[in-house]
Amino acid sequence: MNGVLATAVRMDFHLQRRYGFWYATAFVVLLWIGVLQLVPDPLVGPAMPYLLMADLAFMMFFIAGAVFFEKGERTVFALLTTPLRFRHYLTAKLLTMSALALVTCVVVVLVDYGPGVAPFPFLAGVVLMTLLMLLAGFVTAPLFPSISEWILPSTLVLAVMNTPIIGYSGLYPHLAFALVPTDGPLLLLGAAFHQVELSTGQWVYALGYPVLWIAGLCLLARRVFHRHVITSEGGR
Amino acid sequence: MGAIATFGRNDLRTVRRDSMLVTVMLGPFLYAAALWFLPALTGYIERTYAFDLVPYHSAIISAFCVLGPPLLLGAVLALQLLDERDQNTFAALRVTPVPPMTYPAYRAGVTIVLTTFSVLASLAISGRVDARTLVLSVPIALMAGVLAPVLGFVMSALGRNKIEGLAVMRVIGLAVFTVPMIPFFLLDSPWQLAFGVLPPYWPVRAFWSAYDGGTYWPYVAVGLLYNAAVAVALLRVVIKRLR
Repeated sequence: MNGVLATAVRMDFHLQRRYGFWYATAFVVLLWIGVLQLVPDPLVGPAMPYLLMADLAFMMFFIAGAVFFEKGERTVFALLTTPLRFRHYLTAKLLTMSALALVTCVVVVLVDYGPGVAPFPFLAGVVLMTLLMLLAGFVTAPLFPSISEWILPSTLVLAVMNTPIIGYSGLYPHLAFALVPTDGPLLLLGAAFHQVELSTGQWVYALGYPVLWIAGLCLLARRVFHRHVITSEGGR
Repeated sequence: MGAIATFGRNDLRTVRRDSMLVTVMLGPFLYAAALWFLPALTGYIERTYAFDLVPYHSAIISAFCVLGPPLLLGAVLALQLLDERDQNTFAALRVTPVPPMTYPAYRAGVTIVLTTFSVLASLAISGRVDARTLVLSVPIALMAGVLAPVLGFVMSALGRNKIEGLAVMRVIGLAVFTVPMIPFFLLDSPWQLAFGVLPPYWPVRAFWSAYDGGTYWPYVAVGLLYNAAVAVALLRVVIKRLR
């Protein structure tokens, strides 16, 4: 890891703690652990993919909050004068926030489900899902002037991201849900808790399709950020 | 009264400018849409896991349609207040003849009206409650309406800025969605009343009774009074914290 990125990562971890994300996460882990005790044992496995998906969705709000806050406090503009490039800025945010999400999921799953979870699809599902949610927040947030104006449109984004649940759960299976990028990670989580058996084709789709989206969203993030955050500085 | 009319006029101007109202109107449909899948989900869980979801229907409906709108609109209220403190709206208001209480109280009032509407609309559109339950839900919706500023004030008072507010919202969001559901599993025990300390307990408890035809009025009466008292107490805290 090069020096600039390492510094950016350290700074983001520091900020996360100061913003109270760590304490919030600790509370959330305790709540999940407690609530899952109420779920009958045979239903814990089937419920896990949905719960993890619902919980990871909140990462969208965390990253958007960070963007609005740093824009409001003008730290983003101060960073423009440093050697930090956009790719460092985004990578550091994605790295630190997915680390936080991953730790939450690992603790909750180990306590409430146990070590029977399949490690590879679990880790891949959590990481891909988190990155998609983070980027969804990062790409949409700069389009709105304030967080209170973003919060309601964001629920629409959230609704779209959650539609694969309808297909995955078996309620109304339809190929169209496969177009939504969160479908793949949801399948991986299903495989992690032994709810679905994936064919080779499904593995390729579940890993490859979200990766394509993530790459595309990263490029889009750069455009949106330059156009709506950085150049807007001159318009103030 | 003049100040409130001015705030209202200003809000109506902003509403036209951004998409706020459109999305507030869409909210109930999102919650209701989640419940359109309830019969299919019930059948599916019955077939796949041999587990009967029907006894839990009132709990599921109450989580989405009675607690969902106050959580969403409470969070919006909290973010508005934090946004406006960051933009020094409060400092600006202090040099006007408007008492410091008026503005947050006005915001809370708007939130109560929108939330009450949202709860009733989502229950009606969900198609999961009969006409009798829907009529009984009118005071429950009002109670949920008063719950929205309670949640919003807590969120905005605990966070020092928007982003800390979000961290608080995550915890409160999950807690409100789950903890008031616990008494559903101990309805026969008087211990369920211990959950009455939590303001969200009352609207969901009243809804379960309305749905099943049990004792209903005591929960509505106590819940309305309790939520209103908590909201007024928090309003004072918020005024101190936000300046």
